[in-house]
Amino acid sequence: MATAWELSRPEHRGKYEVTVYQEGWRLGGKGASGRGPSGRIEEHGLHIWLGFYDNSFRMMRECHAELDAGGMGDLYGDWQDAWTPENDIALCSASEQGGFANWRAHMPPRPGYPGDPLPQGQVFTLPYYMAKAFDLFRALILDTTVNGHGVATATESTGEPDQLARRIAKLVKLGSFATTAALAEALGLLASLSRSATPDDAGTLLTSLERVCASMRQWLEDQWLADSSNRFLWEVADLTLATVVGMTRHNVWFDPRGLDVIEDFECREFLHMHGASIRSLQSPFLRGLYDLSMGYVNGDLNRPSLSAGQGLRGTLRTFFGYRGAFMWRMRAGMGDVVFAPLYTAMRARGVKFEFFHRLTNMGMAKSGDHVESLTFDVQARTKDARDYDPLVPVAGRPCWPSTFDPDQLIDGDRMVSEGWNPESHWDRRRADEVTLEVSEDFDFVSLGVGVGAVPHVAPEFVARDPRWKAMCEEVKTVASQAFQVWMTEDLAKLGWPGPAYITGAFEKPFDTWCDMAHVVPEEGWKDRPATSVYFCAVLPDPPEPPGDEDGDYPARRTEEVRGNAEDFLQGPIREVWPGAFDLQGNFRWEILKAPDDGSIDTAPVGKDRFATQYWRANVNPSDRYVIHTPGSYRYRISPLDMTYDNLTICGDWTDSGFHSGCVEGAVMSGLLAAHALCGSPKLEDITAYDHP
Amino acid sequence: MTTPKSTGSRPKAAGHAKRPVPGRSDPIRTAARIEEAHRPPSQYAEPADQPPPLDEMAIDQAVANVVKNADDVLNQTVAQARIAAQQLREGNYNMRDVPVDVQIMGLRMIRLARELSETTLNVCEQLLRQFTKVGRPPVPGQPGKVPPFPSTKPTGYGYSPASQAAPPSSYGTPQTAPPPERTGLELTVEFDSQAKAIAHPAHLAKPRLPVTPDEISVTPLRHPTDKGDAIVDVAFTVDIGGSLIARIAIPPGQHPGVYSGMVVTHKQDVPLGILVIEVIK
Repeated sequence: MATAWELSRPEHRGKYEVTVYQEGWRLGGKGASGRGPSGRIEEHGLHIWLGFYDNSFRMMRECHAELDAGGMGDLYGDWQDAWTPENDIALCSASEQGGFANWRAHMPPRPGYPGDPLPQGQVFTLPYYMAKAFDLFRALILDTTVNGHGVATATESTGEPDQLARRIAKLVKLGSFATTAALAEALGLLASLSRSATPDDAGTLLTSLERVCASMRQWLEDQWLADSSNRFLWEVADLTLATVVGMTRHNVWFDPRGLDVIEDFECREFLHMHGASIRSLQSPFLRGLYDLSMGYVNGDLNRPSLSAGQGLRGTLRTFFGYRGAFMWRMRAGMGDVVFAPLYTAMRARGVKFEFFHRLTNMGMAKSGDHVESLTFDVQARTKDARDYDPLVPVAGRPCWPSTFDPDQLIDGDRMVSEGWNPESHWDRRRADEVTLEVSEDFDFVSLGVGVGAVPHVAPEFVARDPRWKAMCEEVKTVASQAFQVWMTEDLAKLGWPGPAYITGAFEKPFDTWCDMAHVVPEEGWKDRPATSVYFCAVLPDPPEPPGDEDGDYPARRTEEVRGNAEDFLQGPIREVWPGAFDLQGNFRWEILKAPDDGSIDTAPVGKDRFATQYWRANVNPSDRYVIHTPGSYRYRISPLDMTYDNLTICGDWTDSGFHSGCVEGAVMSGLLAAHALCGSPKLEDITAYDHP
Repeated sequence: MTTPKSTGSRPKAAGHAKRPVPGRSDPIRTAARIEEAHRPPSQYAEPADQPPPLDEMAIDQAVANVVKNADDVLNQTVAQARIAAQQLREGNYNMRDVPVDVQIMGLRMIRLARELSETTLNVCEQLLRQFTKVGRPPVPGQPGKVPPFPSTKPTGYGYSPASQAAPPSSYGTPQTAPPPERTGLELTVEFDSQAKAIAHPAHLAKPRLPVTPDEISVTPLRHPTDKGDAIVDVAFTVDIGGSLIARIAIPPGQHPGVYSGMVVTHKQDVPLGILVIEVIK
């Protein structure tokens, strides 16, 4: 979508005629969402926009501004209505006292908004990050709380003498304020050293770092020995120190390859070899990062695997690159907030959208240097050959539905009665087939499917081009699972100490969850539930991948997710929502809110009530989530690659400069694809493409 | 995908369209080059002979610049001396200027010597540092695997995912009282000698104040009936995971039996607990 957005810019004055071919009825791929019964939002997973998504936010801010200028501003509102800042995160870990310990941190708001132009002269360098690290670490020390007890919370500084005394007492408990100050001072020293370091100073820097780290580790370990409530600080500091030492030892600071120097290392192994303790390597902080990145090979929780270079790049961007807020919550579903405005604005620009077109073969010319043909399954034809109108109004705004509109389609009712699913890789039913020829029907192609689908849509390229073959084999993906519940009681009533957080590093299989109460008013309930909560995680792969003929595979995995979700609600969730259980210790299924739009006559009772909620297994090849395993970066192909005259690629699986499965990686890749086709935008204008 | 304005049935062109060749196909990963690439165009070009800052130079380039600078200073000094000599020969010498000229020359030579010495030392230092870089960092996979993340499965209340037992609930009373809060130190006992011995589980309280392992000790481990000599060689350390370790050396021929001692720290009066071991025959 970012490629189409760039190519259709008014500045190009219609030079490029853009057509988007999309399987099924909605845009967005694994970021798509839909509206189900009662207008409820149904997502592929949990989507949070991080505060460093500059390119993504810039595109969406431009989109909203363009809609407003075109008289359509009231359709979707201002971009700041669509995203709200969120600076609180929570991580969970098994407590040594039993149950879970909740580690919460408040990230300080920072000036500006994501998508703002970078300040003049600011470039992303590792010394820049280290200078930022000091500020953040100090903020973490001040704002970290463990099970509600502040280490030294900023909220206590009301100026009242007794509160100040309590705060000082807590600082003393840390081992006297002087030691905390020493910690901060040492970090400041590291930042200063980093800032002034030159390649020839690397040895001095390393010696200083190792000395400071050794004394800090001793201090931190002593603290931990006496007071395990400081464990979070110990672990974060330990990981930070190991990172700095490792980057210095590997000369990352000055190497022209930047963080790619350490891309062959597994992230935790890298930290371990540079001094991080096993305890820190198993900390909720690090586990949360792996969970969010779904960094488990084949979804196997015993095989955590993320490359060190991209892991650190992502961490640095996440913690030190954000503007405005650490995270931004979307007001509604990703489809509604992102893809509906883009669709509306691009339609107004003249972009064409061909829904129900599934690419089945991208034909390579005999010469092997360009795309010769594109063959699509036409999954459905519209009545009277009209354009398919994909959006439906919910709560006054245009939204994507969770299923296609049969009334617009020839044989639409039959498709419904026969259970067609145009988004399923295994459902190959179609109405027609069409082949486009180069120079007659198209000039250039930007392939934007997920990397898991590439072998299925471009088999000739995979067979003939060793780089494409290697990319498909080495750029790993994982399946994911998700479920959503709507409840008649909010989380505070259920015992979660709140306020609303995204919570990571929780018990498997659903390690990441988020209270989404803020989206409920956007849904179409007659009688609104108190909240909705989204859960997501990896879904382990079977030993052998399913074949194309295994039509039941998606249904089996979906049923498996349902079982996982039901077990999860009856199991680990009791630790954080004790109020969701009755006197006998059973989950109170009646708090789940069934759709109230008449689609269900009577809400089932007991465990069967879960059947009225939403769950899914993201097992379609194109829906699989890309991960960055050690060494895999060299198998990614850049959208700028010139192997084929009329082809570029886009997606978070390409060599976009930011090799992580996320919106920003996808948008950066889309911008690169646009640059490959028309030279615009300039590479220097893609924020953080040039980045260590 | 892009198509020309005349979509549909236009005649097939003789050749397919080709993408423009991009200026580069990789991101810039190094700070100096990022700054250069992102610098806005300036109407004033920088002097062509402006050397880059020393910290961006390779060692050979740095040495070349040092030599060049030294040559420049030397040449200037020699040239000035020639002018002074010429003036002396031509009888234009102003006696009042002589001390100044000599002073300037002298100072310049001293400065030159100092700069050369300092530069030489700097170059040597740089070379020495480069030697230290011969010790390469480990290669991927060498240090051994880090174990996967542990389960976050809560250990309290006898929880298990498949269990249907009554859980704690704010709506109900727990069926059983929760176990006492475990606030102690995890202690591992290791024996240094060949003598057979085992440790009996002991619960140690956490120190009330921060202590280092060196500040923890144990009173001599004694046999209840004093049949054997007291065991005194006990040292405390902390392993990488944070557990407290007691290393005990059992003297050869130690009388079999149970030995115990109080684990203490000088920072508090109350002992942390009792360490109990059993020497086996």
